[in-house]
Amino acid sequence: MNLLRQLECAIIKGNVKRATAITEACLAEGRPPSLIIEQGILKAMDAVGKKWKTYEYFIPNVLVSAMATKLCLDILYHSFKNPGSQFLAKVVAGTVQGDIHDIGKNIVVMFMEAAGFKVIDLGVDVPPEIFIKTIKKEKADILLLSCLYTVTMHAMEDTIIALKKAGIKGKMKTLIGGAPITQEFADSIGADGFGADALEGVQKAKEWFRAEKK
Amino acid sequence: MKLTIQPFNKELEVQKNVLLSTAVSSAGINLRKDCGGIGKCGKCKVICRKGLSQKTLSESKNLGPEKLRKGMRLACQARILKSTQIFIPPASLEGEIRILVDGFLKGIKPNPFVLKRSFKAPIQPSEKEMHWEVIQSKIESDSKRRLTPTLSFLRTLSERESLKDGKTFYVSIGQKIVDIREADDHRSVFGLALDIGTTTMVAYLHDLSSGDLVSVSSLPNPQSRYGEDVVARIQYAVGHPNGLKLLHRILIDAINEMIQEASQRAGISREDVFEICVVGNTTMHHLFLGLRPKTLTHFPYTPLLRMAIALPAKGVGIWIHPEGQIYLLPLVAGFMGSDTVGVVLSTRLHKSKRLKLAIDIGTNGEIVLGNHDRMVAASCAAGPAFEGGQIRFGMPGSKGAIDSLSIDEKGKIHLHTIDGYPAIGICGSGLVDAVSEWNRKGLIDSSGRILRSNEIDNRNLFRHLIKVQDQPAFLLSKGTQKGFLRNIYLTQKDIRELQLAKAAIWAGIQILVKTLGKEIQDIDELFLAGAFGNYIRPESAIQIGLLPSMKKSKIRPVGNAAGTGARMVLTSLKERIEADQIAQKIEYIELAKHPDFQKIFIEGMSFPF
Repeated sequence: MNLLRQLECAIIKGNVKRATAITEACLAEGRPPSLIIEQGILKAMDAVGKKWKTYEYFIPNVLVSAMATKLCLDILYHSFKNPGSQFLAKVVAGTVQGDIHDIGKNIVVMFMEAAGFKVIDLGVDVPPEIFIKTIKKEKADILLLSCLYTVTMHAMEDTIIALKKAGIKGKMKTLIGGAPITQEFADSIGADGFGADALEGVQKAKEWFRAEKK
Repeated sequence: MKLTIQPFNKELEVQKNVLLSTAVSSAGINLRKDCGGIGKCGKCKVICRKGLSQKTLSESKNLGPEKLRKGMRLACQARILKSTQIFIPPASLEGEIRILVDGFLKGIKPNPFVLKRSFKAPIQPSEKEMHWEVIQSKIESDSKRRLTPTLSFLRTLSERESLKDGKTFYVSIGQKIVDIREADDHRSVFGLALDIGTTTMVAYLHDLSSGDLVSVSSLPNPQSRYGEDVVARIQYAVGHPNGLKLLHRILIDAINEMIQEASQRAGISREDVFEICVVGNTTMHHLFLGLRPKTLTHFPYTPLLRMAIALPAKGVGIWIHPEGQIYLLPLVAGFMGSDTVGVVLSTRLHKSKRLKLAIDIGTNGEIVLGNHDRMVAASCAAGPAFEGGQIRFGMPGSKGAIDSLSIDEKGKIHLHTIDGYPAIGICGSGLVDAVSEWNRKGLIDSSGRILRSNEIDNRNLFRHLIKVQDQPAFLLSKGTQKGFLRNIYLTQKDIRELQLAKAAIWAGIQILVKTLGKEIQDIDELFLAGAFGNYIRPESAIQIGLLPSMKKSKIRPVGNAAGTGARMVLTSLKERIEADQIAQKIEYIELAKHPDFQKIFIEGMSFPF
């Protein structure tokens, strides 16, 4: 099995040591980092996504695969000629005000990073003002909002309203997700995109920014 | 001769040769009578080892040698020959969804807030006419109590002809006098302990003079159709116009229904009930009082009020005696309410020298760890999996639910369903048993994944593996040809739901243990409260990692411990002070804020063996 296939398998299995070792080996052989990402890492993430959908994989499995991915990407990004240019877009992420749950958000963040986005994770219980300040400072392209409770969903609406007020809503994309979130809710508050789970969220983000990259 | 009925602590005088079912019925306890009492259905099971007539043919047929050896009898068949004691298992009571009627009241001396006392009527001719000041001074000189009159009392007084010589009874609720009765009025005074569960509510009617339990009534919480969990109901109450009014009204209506049923069963009027002691989680407490739960919609979810409070029953919409009062036990913090206080009170965890853990795995999953030194508690938000929610064939613990399961060496599945009905679904304890067995037999790996046939050693078990849409699943029960019953199976997704629920409880326990700086081995006793706790098999719970690995003998099911706590508070004033102290003392830990929570939660998802 060639090296890239081996890398793909190691990431799917969540074997961090093996995945990072193979990544180094690929680089040593002279393969371009972008190819390693496309053929090794993204393929692995797709496979993990499929297993997640059928419940063959569960949260612990996904987390180890995401961890393996993150570490491989760290190695690869160091060898990019223009650090920063390899990112598809910048994302500011966080769980909304009043909500302190973050496992789901953490998974999305890892997947987003694996897919090539630069993510600034603001943590939990984030008030709208902090989101806006960070978006402005980082010149972010995407705002990723998460919440777990139905009772904190209104904070998502508040955050989006604050974006409008600050005059930046039209200049970027808003992506929301979380257990109680639905497409209808996303439409009703004017979010640009909704992901039923982490993978759908990343898919949406890629649809927006991959085209632009090309 | 005497018949003692447990777990009701009821004693009655009976004639020799009376049918056991007749005697039990005269005590106001309704046993199941599916066949009309002719010995065919086998549902009126009681446990009694001596003092009864010889077993009949019906009993041998219905019970079998194993059960007979355990002392089981059928009430409609046995006659009382000598003074004896019987124990009625919950399943033999009429119309329950396996609601826990027991739990235990450890010899509490009755000391209620509601008292029926008497005073010696007047002798002076001038005192024969009814007026308050005379009565007040008689009572004060008799008992040193200075009472204040209530409106109902004054109206009753105004209707009476005159005070008779000899004894006159009166009823007081605390310092208020609420009723006056003739000497030949032998009615007792009654009180109700009410456990408002998110899914199921139970009411226990007690005779406050003797302290005895006289009847029980229970109903599913009608708010369920507006939200299975508390968060959904809070959302409805806050988000919908009239949402709060609606949720409040249907709850009160159902409670009034239970009061009526319990009263009827006990052969009394609902106006003979003078006090109701209520336990429930914070959300139920607020909705019961018709309080808008705005503060429960955001962190830190502070209750509108935490302390114990007494309010007029009329004001809340509860129909008992017009002057009747409702006493609500204190809440702990956040979503953790007085039900947890009730659990601690009845298990005496707060008085224990050794470290004890109490778990109430209901819709929410509350745990308390500690002893008389210190107590820490957390709400695990395990989710509805343990009550059948989010599981493909999940259902509450009612007829036809698979509640336990085992697989023999030949690979055959042995199911047990509630009341022996054909399987129509699976309840919490059945789910834990099923997953535990599959895990033990090597069909689920430690990550929770159902193995493929080429990964399984035991070929006897292949036939149970099926595919449902694109997921693997286990077939538990085959449907019938005519299509009345469906195939019952457990999917990969169902197992994942169970993993989430068990991980929450597991993480909660680990964090509380860490907070006290202790180890799992230091836990001297584990109390399993709630209906689920009574029916779950401890070995299965340990196998799947729901409960920490410990000696089975340390695990004690305690039934509806929250309800028992309410009953203790109803029958003894001393317990009210204890309850207040418990609520003050418990340190509530917000699990999600704990730095290690996420890591431990994820660890807890796997199967340990």
